[in-house]
Amino acid sequence: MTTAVEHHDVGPVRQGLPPPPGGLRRVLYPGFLRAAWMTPLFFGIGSAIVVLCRWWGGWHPIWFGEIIVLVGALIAAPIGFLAGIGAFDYWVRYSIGAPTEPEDHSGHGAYSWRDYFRVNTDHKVIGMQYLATTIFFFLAGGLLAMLVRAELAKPGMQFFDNQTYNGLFSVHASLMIFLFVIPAFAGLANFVVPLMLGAPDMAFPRLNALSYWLLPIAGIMMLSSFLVPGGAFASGWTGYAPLSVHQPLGTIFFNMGVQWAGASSIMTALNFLVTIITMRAPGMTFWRMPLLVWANFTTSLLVVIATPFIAGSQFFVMFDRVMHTHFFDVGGGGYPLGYQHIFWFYSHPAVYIMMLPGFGIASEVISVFSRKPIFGYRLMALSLMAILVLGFSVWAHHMFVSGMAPWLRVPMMITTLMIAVPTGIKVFSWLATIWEGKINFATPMLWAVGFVSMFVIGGLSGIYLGAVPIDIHVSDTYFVVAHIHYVLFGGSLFTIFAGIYYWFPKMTGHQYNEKLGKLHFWLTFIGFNLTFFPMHLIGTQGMPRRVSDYAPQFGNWNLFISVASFFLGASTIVFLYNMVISMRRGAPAEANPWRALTLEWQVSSPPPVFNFDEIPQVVGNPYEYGVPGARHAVLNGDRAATETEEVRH
Amino acid sequence: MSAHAEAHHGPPIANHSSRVNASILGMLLFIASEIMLFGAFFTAYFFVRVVNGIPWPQPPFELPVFVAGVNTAILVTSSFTMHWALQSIKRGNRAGLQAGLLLTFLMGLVFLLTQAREYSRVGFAPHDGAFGTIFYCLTGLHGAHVFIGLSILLFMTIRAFRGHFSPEQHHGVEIGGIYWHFVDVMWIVVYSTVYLL
Repeated sequence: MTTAVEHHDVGPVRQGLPPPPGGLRRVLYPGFLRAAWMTPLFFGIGSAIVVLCRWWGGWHPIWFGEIIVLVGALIAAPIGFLAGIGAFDYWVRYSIGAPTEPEDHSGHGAYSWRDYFRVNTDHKVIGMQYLATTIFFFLAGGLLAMLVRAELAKPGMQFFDNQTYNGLFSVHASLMIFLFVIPAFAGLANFVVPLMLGAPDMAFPRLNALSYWLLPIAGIMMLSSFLVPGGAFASGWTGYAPLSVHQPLGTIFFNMGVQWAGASSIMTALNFLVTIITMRAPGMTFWRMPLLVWANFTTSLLVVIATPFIAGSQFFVMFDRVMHTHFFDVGGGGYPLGYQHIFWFYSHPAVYIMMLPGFGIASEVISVFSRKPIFGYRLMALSLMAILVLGFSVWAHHMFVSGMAPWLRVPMMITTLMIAVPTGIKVFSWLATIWEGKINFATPMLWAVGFVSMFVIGGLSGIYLGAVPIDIHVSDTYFVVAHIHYVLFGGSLFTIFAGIYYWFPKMTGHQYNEKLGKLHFWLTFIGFNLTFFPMHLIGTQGMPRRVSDYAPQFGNWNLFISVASFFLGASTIVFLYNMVISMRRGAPAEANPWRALTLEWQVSSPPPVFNFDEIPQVVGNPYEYGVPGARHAVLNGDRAATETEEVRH
Repeated sequence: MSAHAEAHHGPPIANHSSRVNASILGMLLFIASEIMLFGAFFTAYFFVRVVNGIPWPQPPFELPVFVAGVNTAILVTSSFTMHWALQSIKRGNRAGLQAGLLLTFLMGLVFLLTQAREYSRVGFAPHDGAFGTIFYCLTGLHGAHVFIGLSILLFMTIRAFRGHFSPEQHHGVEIGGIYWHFVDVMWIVVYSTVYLL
């Protein structure tokens, strides 16, 4: 493992990869052509290993479909694909001690659209790859949600049987969580964090490229589980054992998909941590880092520490299934509740993995569009750390009705309610930042303010659910569905949209259409509330979640919710249309359209291939808006934005 | 998605805002993540052995404590030879680096083969109750890490024999070495909890 940073100043710069050789040698050239034969080759190798092992061990049948699928299709074939597109080329050469070629940066930057479809080491290209991929899976997951709502539009069975319905909402949740919210934040941060730090790239650009390419693998794996016999995995995104152990084949697509997505996020997190610690520009102390960087720092710590636990939990389910072990099998001495403990020890911190980067985006946007310094900067950073620490001590609040040790309930309730304190600090700091500011309600600000209001509702219902008596009453009802969507849709998704609109000019070099952006916000905001707010009501009345059929008394509300959800789904079309036409025909963006002080806005839009001509010198805090003469950094002698004289109210 | 502006020069040299080397920090964070993965497996161990209170080892099965103890000694020794290899290249002693890496690799290989032999003779399988499950999964997880460590050692050895590494450039050895020490320390934890306790 070497850093490219150390090689950065060797060799001439080459723009883009050399053209592929002609003739037969072309099939050896890294790319999709090589992947097209290496993927089946590795599938064959994986299957051969399985067959040989079973033959040698005397197990029958020697050709056992389930294990072939697991080892051949879900482990070996993706490795073959990654090797084919060239994700491992450098490391293979390094490992066998071949002379390392001087870095010519040919794998860096994008000079044509083709450069987005190969292993690219440029953090900006990787950020775009992340965003495009995650938006694709967002649409896929959204369409699945539409199917779920279609089935629920009236009582009785409409379109699907129970197993298919369970598969629909399971894949919907898994795609949204593992393939949209978590990696979309990683994508935005990939683009922005090195720029904000004044770094030319991430610390490990090749690792960064690899962690992106693991993502489509995980997503395709989860989606393709619809095609296998027995249908998609159907035990929810939580995949509780022992139920998930005895589900059809699709379950191992979930088990392995989570491993690939998890490996991707661990590698990215590790990369962020090393970048933030070792590559800050001179003068950028931890207390001068923008809050988005702080947010990604804490999130990455959470990812590195917590994600291995979901890896473990999915390994156990898989072993129980294919090796007939007894992790969760009472008859064999196993401990079924163990799954939930191990799973939630990851998945509760995962809630913060899905939220803290959003906090960072909201802090950036609210400060810039209120033209005021962020209120309580240090407390904003420290509350992130407090959430990180407390986040590890609350997992069993998901298990109040699971039959776990009763003494665990009250401590978990107390720590859960305590998390409201750092979260409240953040909410009040945002409000205090907006207070008496010169507010500009451009699209990013609308999303950020929408986020604060929706997140407060989600946070309040979270406090209800954290209290044991209320949780017992509304457990497994639509109240929980309402809560999670207020937190993850009204929280995470709104901040992702805020971030996409905020950095759209920087990423593409074009300005998005402001009218369409506002229209998108209002359609989504209204559709979102019409869809999810009534769920609180039917939840407290006892409408159970995860069912395809329900009592007729909930029929009217469900029809209302379904219609509202189609409206909400349709609002996405405005977003896509805006993105596509603005990217092609939008007005050219200035370097700093929002008059922001942070470093990413001090370079051209889109930024140059290596971000900076020379590393900037950081001289002040990042949020001194409205403070005359304040500056965050000095670039190339003297080009950085200075906050102009502004009259503050 | 328009193309980025043309570059006529390489990237500026990044500022080093920490005294810690980036690759070493990366490896340490990766190890933190690995420790948590072992943590998940040890949590399963805790649930089975402490919460469920099954007898350990579960009769009629027995664990080969002595053979595994010898194996432990081999793995611990390999950590010392690894350290010797690193110290050698720091002083510019290439022969010491090569011998140290080779010895470390061989001892790791002996450890892994001994464990494979132990599996075939131990008398129970992963599906023989939760005891067998936990035994195989904890030692197997560790074995997988030994395998990864051995691969890294193999690459380091190849590079050492092909003339790479020098007193100034030895991060490759240092980082691989950190991983190997981690594998070693983890085995001491696994051995104490699974075999001795």
